[in-house]
Order: sequence, then C-alpha cells, then structure tokens
Amino acid sequence: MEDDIKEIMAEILDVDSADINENFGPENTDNWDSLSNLRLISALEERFSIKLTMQEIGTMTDFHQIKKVVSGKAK
Amino acid sequence: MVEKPGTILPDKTPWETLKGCADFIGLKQLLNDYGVDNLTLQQIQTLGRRIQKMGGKDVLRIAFMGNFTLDLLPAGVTVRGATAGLQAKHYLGGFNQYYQEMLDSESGLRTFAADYIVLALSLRLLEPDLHYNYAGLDEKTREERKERALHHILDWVKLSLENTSATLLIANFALPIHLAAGIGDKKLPGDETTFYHDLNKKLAEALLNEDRCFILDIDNLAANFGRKKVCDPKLFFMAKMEWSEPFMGEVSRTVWKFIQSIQGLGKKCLVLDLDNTLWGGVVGEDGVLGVKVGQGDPTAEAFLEFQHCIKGLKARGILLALCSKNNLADVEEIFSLRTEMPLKWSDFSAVAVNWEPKHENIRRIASELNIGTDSMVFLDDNPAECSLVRQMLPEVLTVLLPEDPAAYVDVLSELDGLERAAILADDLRKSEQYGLQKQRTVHRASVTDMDAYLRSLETEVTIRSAAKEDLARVHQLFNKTNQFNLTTKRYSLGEVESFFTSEKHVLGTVSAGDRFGDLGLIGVFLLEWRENGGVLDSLLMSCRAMGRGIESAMMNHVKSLMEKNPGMRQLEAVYLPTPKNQPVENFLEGQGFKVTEARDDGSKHYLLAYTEIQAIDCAWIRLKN
Repeated sequence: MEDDIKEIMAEILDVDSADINENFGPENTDNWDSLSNLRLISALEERFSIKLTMQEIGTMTDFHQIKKVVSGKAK
Repeated sequence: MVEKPGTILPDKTPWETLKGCADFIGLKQLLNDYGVDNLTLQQIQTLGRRIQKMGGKDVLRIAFMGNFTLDLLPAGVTVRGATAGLQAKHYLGGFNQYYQEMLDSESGLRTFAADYIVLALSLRLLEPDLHYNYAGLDEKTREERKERALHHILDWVKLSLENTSATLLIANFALPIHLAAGIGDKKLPGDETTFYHDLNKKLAEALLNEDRCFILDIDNLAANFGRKKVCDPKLFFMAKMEWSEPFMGEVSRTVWKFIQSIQGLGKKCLVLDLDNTLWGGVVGEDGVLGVKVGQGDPTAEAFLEFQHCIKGLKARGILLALCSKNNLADVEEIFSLRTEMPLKWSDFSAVAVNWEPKHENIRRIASELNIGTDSMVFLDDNPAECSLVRQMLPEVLTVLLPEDPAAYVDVLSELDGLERAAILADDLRKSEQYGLQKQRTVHRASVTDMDAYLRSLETEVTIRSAAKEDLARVHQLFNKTNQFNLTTKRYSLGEVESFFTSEKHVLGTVSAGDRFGDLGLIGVFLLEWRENGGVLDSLLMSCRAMGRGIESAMMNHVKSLMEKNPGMRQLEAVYLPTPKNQPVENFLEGQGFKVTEARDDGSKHYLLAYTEIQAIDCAWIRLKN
C-alpha cells in the first residue's frame, strides 16, 4: 500500500517517488497546491475504494499522515 | 523507439515513454498508439501540463472562463488536440473574472488573443436563490431571475463577440439532482425541471444565429453521464469545483469535438465493408435473400438500426463509400432487391466492390472523391482486413467492429471525428454534389477531347465579394481546403469577419455550377491592398471544382481588380508548400507571375507587374456576374 500511495503522489505531484519520505509535504514541492491536493484525494479514493471525509482530508498534510488515514480506512 | 507507424500495439507503448516524450510530433504518434481513452484522469492532467510547456508555432489558443474552479478542464482538450496534431495552449481565467477580463483590454484574457473561449457558469453561484430556495420564490421572481441569468450570459457574449475574434463555447445548465419539491415537482406551478429546460432553451435560441457561438449542452452530457456524478459535493465545498474530475473529462471531450469540427479536422468519409457490416451473413454464401437485414429477426434488426444510423451520418454531410471483397453483381442485386434497407445504392459517393486489397481500394476512393486518406474512417468486422489497412494506411481511422451487431451503433456514435458543430446548407448537399462528380467522371470518359469536355460541362461561375451570409462557408473553406490552397492560412471566423469589414482587404468568393447541378460556393481569395500594390494573401478552391479552369477565371478576376485600381503597380503572391498542396505548386507561373525568390523550404515568392497583366483563356466558362 505504501508503494501504491507513493506512486499516486509521484504521478500527481510530478515528483520522483524515491524522494517521498515520511515528512514529504507541500513545502517539499511547488506542485502540491490546493488543487493537486484534491486530485490526490480523488485518486486515493478511487485507488483504494474509500471515501475520505473533509475532516480527514484536513489532517492529511504529509506522506506520513496520508498513509495513516488511508491505511485506517482501506481494509 | 518508433519503428513503423501504426504497428505498435497499445500495450507496447508504456506510459513512461509517453510521459517522457518531449517533442509534440512524437507525442502525437505515441498518443494515437496508446489510445487517448486508455489514459487515466491523472495521466491526462500530467500530459496536459507537459504540452502546455512545449514550444510550437502553430498553436491554438483556448481560454477557459467561469465562476467556479475549472483548472482540471483544459488538459483533456489539450491531450485530445495532440492526437490530431493540434497543439493547444490554454488560458485559465481568474475565478469569477470573466466580465472584468473581457472589459479590460490589458487583461490576461484579452492579451492572450484566444481562438476559442469556453464559458462555464454555476447557476448556484450565479443565482443562489434559485438553487437553495426554489420553492420559496414566487413564479414572478423565478422568471425575473431566469431573465437576469440569461442576460448576464448574453451580455457577456455580446461583449466577447465585439472585443475578440474568438469562437465562443457557452455551457448551459445541468438540471439539479435534488429538486426542491422532490417527486411533487410536477405539481408545482412553474416546476423546477421545466424551469431549467426553459432557461437552456432560451439560451440556445438567443445564440442560434450567432455563427461564432456554440452551446456546450452540459445538461444532455450530464444526463448521459449520470447526473449524480456531475458534482462531487466535497470538491464543491473545498474548492468550488462544480464539476467532478470525471465529468470535467466528459466536458473536455465535447469541447474538443467542437474544436475538431470547426477547425476542419473532422473525418469526411465513412468507408464501409458489406458482409457482416451492413448486413448479417455473407452474400456469397447466404445469397441475396439470405443475408440478414430488416424486421422480424433480432440480428436483422440490429443491422437495420445500424444502417439507419449510417444514413443519419450522410444527412450530417459525411460521405459514404463501399469497400468490399465481393462480386459487384451480387451486391448490386441486394441493393435493388432488398428494398427494406434504408441505405440505397445512390447513397454511396464511391464504390469499390472487387477482390483487390482494401488499402488500395481505399486509396482509390480517396482520389476519386478528391479527399485525403487521413480524413477517412474505415469500418470492417474482419480483424485481418483491419490490421492490414491499419498497417498500410495508418492515417486512416480503422475501426474493428465488435462481435455483436447490437453494439455497432454505439461504436459509430463514439467516433468523435464524425461530429459536426453545425450543419451548413452546403454540407447537406455535399454527397449530392459528389454524386454529380461521379456522373461528370463518367461523362469525361465519353468525351475524348479535353477542350470539348470542358465546353460540354457548361460551367457557370459567379465571382464576387463575400456577403455576410457567406462567411460561415468561407471560414469552413479556409480551414478544410488542403490541396488547391496557395498559402494554407487557417483563419478563425472572427478573422474572416474582420477581413469582410476591412477596407484594406477584398474577400472574394467563387460559386460554380454546371449542367449536372450546383457546386455551391467553392473558391475564396483574399487580397490585401498596400500602399502601391496588392498582396494575394490566400487563394483556395474546393478540390471538387479543380481542373476545369475555374481557377483561371478566379485569377482573371483578381487581375481585373488590379486594373480597376490604377494606383496598384504590382501584385505580390507566395506559394507555401504543405504535404498536400502540390496541385498549386506551379499555378502562379501559369498565370503569368514571375518568381522573385525560391527558398530552400520550397516556398516561392512572386510578383506580377501591372504592365504584364494578361487574362488566361477559359472561354468555356460563362461568368454570371
């Protein structure tokens, strides 16, 4: 799952998946703006067949947090 | 990596190759091999960004304006454009800035100089009461709000037509999924669904005769897509995105269909196989009366439906041709005996029923109809035939029909190249005109002397300045004429309108007819007057009128315009080569022009001095004006 998330983030944020570490967040790339954040959410929802709430999305501020929320939802 | 065009199977073009491709031409080929419909929404956004950053000179400029977040809309248009070799650059208007940017001549929108402007508005952001409090408003207030929304759009359209030369694509409104009165809606005086239908209807009616305006029928698109999936509420609350990402994909495809058609990139001819394509079974085995098409049998009905659908495309102006390995006599017999078939022998503008390889027949059909093979779609049920044609003629859009004839109609309706933004009167008569061409060709075979043939055609030509009602057709000719075209300059309708009103330009049209019938408006020239001479900016003619001296008559007319302007000492002209316009490579030499410069790229510059003007003989043509 970790690799899948990295792959999606790499695709949408146009970065190398090898550069994505636990603390990778919007400050690491200019491409992580509010819109790509939403595209990231849509892609994760589709990939893992989950629905994320707006509150959860609010907490998903770096790779570590994304992983935490997504793994908690996807069975 | 690319060995031979068209031979790469989709799974052999990895996404990484596509993503890494830095040059636009290479990308077009890779994209067509990969298939634009195989791309995910994410991949489309990624590619869209790549293309936006690429350099290029013949770029189409598309602006997206609205009152909600449209950031995900342009990429789909850009990527689809790339499949047709059209490089699009986009401009995304500021949120809710469509009026301000249109009014300010220094704005990003105005300085962008768009060829197309898409306007998409959210009614709930424009008129919140209508969305949140429909049942609470009295009928009079609702009507007022409807008129207010309508005029808000129409005033913007008027401004845009005045201030830009862009073609406008205006989104209408999707019906809401949650009706204020629920199932009771139809008992509500002035019900909500009718309100939306009426708003959309009024918008379409108001723009019906604006040649530079088209409606993006969002409501119809939403109904087909599934209204509930049009808006993702989360994205609306978090980012003011009225349309979900998948729905943006649908809208961008529709935007592309319009642009493709208006730019003259649509397909012109549908080439059809016969056995198991137009009817079930094989005529050579099942017999003329045994093949399935008609009422009373599910398979036969499916083929009947398919034929009706093809006939509908003919009415849209698409030419039909037959390409089948069969005995011609059998096929002719089917068309004369099986009168329940909606398609008639006379519906086909060209016929190749023989045992020759299909790619050779398709080439022959193209030359008979005077169209490029890249404007053809080939439909066949046989994978081997499809594969061969795809290999030999990669520029033809080859479509393998599915196993079940019940699915044929869907396959046909998915072909975006067969869409037309608007059907001009000339389109409706097109296949009739090509039918006349068939007669003319036969006629030519029976008259051996060329001069006698030309005389026997009794060609009549009218050459005059364009009238307002000609402009749509003139624009169409500018954009789709490839062969007889000196400079192949593509002008937008807005530019055509500006030539029409300009005092420095002469926009001339040529209409023709002969003993077989009317050819319609077939030629255009654009002349620019400069200080002491004229410049022939464009000269083009539909290929169906070529080779009978109409071109000389047109040039004689241009020369006479020179003579009427004694201040004009000379006429400059240029030939710009393209892969398709060899027919005019030496045209100007034949008309008395002197080459002043021949460049390495194949282009030639010419001059015709006032004193050297001589009309070229085309006595067999009767000038009507």
